[in-house]
Amino acid sequence: MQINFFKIKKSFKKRSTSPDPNFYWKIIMFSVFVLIAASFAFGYHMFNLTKEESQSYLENTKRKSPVEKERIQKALDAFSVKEKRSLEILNSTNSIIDPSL
Amino acid sequence: MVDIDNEILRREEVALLNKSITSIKQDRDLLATHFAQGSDIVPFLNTIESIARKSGVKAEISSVDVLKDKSGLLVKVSSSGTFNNIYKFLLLLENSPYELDVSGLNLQKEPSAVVSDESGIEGVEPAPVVEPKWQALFTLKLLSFVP
Repeated sequence: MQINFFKIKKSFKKRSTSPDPNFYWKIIMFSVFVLIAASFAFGYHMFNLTKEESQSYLENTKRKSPVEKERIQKALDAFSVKEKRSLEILNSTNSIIDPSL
Repeated sequence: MVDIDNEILRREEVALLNKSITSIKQDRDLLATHFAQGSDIVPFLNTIESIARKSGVKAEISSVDVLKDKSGLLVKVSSSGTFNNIYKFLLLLENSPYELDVSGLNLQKEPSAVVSDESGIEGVEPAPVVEPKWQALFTLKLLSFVP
């Protein structure tokens, strides 16, 4: 008579119908990697946009600067011309004839 | 986010303005010397008197009034001297360091001195030729005036 002992199962294999967590984990890992790369690209794009905007703003403000250096220089030039004329008048030996003489 | 942007813009504007003001400080100070301040018109009056001395005329400031609209200063200067010197004074006023508008000039010859008859007599030295004197009343409008 053969005694039929309870057989101990040696290999534990999952059934093929059950989901494979390793596969989903890989999908998640890949998605996160793509998301990080996209974030870097988006950040760089935004940085470039902001840089351009601030540069154009600075150019505009330079154009609209309330301090008009050219205008001041123009006024100073006019006074400088006057000063030169004054010196010429003082050093001039030409005399105007008195109309009553 | 908008507030932060506005603040950044405002700070940039202030920094730019400060930079601009610093860069023109020298020119600004120089330009200020061509303006008479309402609180202190003495340098301007001194300049007029200095011009009169340089041109060889006797000048006296007879009145100083601020215009009704406060756009300038009305100065009346009475002067006396030879025609040539008064003409020179006029030219120098027009080219003065201040922006002046000569709005009126009343010019008249002073009564001439009596010339001695002895000049025609033989042996007597002829009297030196005296240039006639003129009197002029200038009405000047100072345009570079800060009330």
